[in-house]
Amino acid sequence: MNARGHSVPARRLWWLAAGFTVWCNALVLLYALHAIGCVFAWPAGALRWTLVVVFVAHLVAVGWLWRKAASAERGAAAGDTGNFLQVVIEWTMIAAFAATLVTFGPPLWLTACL
Amino acid sequence: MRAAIQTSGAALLAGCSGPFSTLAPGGAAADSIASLWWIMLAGAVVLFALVMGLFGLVVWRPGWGSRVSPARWIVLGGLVLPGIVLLPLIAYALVAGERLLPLPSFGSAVPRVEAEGRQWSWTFRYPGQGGVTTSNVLHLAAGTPVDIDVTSKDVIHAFWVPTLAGKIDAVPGRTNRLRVQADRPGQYEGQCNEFCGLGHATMRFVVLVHRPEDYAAALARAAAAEGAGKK
Repeated sequence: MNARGHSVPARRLWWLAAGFTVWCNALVLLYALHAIGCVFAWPAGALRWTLVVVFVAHLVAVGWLWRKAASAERGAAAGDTGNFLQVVIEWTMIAAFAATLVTFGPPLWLTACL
Repeated sequence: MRAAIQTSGAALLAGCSGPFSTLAPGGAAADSIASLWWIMLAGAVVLFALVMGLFGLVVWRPGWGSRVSPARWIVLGGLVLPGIVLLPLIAYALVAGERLLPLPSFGSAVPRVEAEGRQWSWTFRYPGQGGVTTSNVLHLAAGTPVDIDVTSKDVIHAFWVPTLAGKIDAVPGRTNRLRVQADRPGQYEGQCNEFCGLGHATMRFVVLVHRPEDYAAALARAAAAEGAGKK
């Protein structure tokens, strides 16, 4: 219960971690694929396109989460705590989307393997 | 108090010069790394000065900036400002890092030297010069990029000549390549840069850079003298 008597379901807190969990997954998967592809000498084009597809898939996943979070109920019914949590979740999703774009996008244009 | 400040200042500035200073580059790769360091320092100074300036205003002019909403302060100070500083830094670092890579060069093959670390010395082998070897002295020709194939015989070491290039790990069973170029003849210092046991601090080596026309003869002399010394 918050100050105005509205309760916020505990499961709603999971949304705070959702965006950056996808970011973590992208980091591990891209790192692993990159290393494996270079060690096993995959064709440069195939490796790059695989990395691009994985990157875009994670970007779409964060985007979908952002859209889903933004469509959640707001207003008097949610209460102060619920509305505050909603704002934090939305901005966390935006941060996760920007972080995914900035940290994983540019390296895809660089030399993949030596 | 003054003595303490002077002593600590001198200790800090001592790292800015000398044979192991990354701020006194002697080649293209080290120059690129030093430039990146200076640019990052400039970015950090700008942000630090700005934050300290705002902090001073909060202390000495209470209420200053209260007309700007907290949300706007967060967006401008927490997102826009770091974005303006950090995004160009990322772009510059990515481009500079790409230029450091030992990519195949078109037209002429890049000479190779094999460097093997072991507790606690370095052995350098020159495949293009008849496979001669030298210990703890690496011979290079000035103005010529050279690919150093670095590996280790025992534990993990790291090959580093701070005035010529970045560092690279020497890993047993694996070969890592580092491109090195010295612009001028002279003597440079290198060291192991990964803790590798009790003798780590003494695991140093010398890089002797010769004029290109003298290189082959100087290397042959050094290898012969080393061979004679072992007999």
